[in-house]
Amino acid sequence: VPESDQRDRVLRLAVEHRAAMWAFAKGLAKNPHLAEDVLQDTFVVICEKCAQYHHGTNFLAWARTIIRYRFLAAVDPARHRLVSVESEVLEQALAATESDGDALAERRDAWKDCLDRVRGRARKVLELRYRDGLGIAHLAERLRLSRNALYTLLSRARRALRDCAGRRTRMRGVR
Amino acid sequence: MNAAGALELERYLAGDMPDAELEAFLARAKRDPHALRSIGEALLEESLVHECLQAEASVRPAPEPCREGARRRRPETLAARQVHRRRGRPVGARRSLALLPLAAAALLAVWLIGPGDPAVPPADKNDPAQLYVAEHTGPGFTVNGTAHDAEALRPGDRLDAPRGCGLTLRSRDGTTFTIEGPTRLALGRAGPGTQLRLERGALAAQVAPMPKDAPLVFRTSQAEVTVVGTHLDVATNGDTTWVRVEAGQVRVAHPRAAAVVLRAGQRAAVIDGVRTTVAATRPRLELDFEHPPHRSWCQDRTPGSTLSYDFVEGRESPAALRVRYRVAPIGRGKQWVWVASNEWFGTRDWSAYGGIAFWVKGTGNGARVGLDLGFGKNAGLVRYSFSFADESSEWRRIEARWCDFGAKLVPGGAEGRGLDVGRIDCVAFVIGGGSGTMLFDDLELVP
Repeated sequence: VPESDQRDRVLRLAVEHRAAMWAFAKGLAKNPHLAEDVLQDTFVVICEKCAQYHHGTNFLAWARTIIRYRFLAAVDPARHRLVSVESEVLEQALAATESDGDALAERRDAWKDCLDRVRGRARKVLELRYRDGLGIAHLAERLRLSRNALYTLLSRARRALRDCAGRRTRMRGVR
Repeated sequence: MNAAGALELERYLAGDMPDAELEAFLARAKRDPHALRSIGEALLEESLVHECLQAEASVRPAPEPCREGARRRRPETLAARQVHRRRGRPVGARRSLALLPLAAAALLAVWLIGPGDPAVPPADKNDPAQLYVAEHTGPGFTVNGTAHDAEALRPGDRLDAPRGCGLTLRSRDGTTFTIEGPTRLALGRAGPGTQLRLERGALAAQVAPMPKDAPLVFRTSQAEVTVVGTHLDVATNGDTTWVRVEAGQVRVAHPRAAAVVLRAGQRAAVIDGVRTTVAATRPRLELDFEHPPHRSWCQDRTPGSTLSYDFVEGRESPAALRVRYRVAPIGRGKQWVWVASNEWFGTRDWSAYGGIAFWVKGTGNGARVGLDLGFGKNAGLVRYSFSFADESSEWRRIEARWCDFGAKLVPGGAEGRGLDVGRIDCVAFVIGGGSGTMLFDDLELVP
């Protein structure tokens, strides 16, 4: 395979699996900003090492390995063991939810539709946490909530989105 | 999942668990497929929300970066910040950079992070570093909780500028701080070794040259920024501290990672006390061929080829590198000529940049031309190359991102490490066929 074709193919896979890669990076980093940072570093490494990827093998597993190393390079060495344990758990957790590209695209569309309908404090908390990347302490102060109340709000906002997206996907299936 | 389980999951997702509890949580999750699935689903849902919100933000018109008053005071800084909004290229730290205008514009509130420097000497009106309020616009500000009407600020004062309030603080040595509310600033000791604690908000600073042993120090909850004499912006939202250096040098440190020195045109983000990312904010001219050291190059060619180089008038500049060549059409293997930077080049760290650009003028004969970057020495030399065709006899600018460079010479032991732009030891121009003349000018590093 010519080098440029190989790079194009690998980058297409990276773009296709971006959501799953971000999820893994966020699982390790906890902070959306840091997750985005790690992910962008990972894209650079993928670009540089695209020749090492063998088509037909598990792209996500390869990409997660790069993410793990990029993240490990940034954390205190004393936490490396715990991060390694956590990355194993995250790999298993995300592998349990993997779906093909079409299913993910359909799900993404449903979430987007539903997110447009979220209003009020639920919308605010999602924007501040996932778009602006605010930390929990700052977010709690900004919304004048205790941490537990904030966690409940975040959990409910996502559950409402999940329910809404589930209904939409089922309706599309019926049509 | 019950309420307690949902709460625990949220705490895990937020990183709000001590290590011992985290270890126990992970051990439990490993044994429970239902828990594993919940974690996976939650992370994927977070990812979808993040993606949808980012997509929304990217199609909306850019928000006004600041109020009218603020734009009057710092038009170039805010405009520059707008320019650095995310462009979608896969280069590390760009996300952090894209958030800089957000932090500066939104000026988010954070918890008060502790007392200022307790050991402060009394105010001294003759002290050249003594700060005073030079300009004030908008609502009134408070010092130590009371409305302030005096000009001079005393060491130990805690200044609170509400939303809409603009302040310019100046000292007699020329140091200037521009503040936009809401900002809270604690003034430490004045004079040599001045310390300021930025508790929330943002400020822009132009700092007069200071003694090396008594620099100006900014502190935030994540970072300590040491200034010797420079022009910089610092902003914090409580989780992340952003520093951008316009001129001079500053040192950025936090307790859990190595300190970094930022030079003019660089910026750093200290994120959650975990790491510091550094990136360039503007191009840097690296080789102009006009300074004597840039005029000594080494050359090589395959047998039968000819090559010479000299310096002639360049593109809007007195000097450009001219290479006259004839590559032998037949020989063993590939035929080429090259000129490479000499000992003067040293080892250069280009890791804060995303690529390299240069100007070229050829003969339009379609010859393959390459820019090689090398690192390592002798048998360990690694070379990566970016190539293009000589398709024009006019000056044109070529730009290559680091990921456009492909491996050309990778000795055993260096496989898979990729192009290390943190230690570039030489650059070379390689021409792979035909005959003609090529001019090269103004190599610059691009963000």
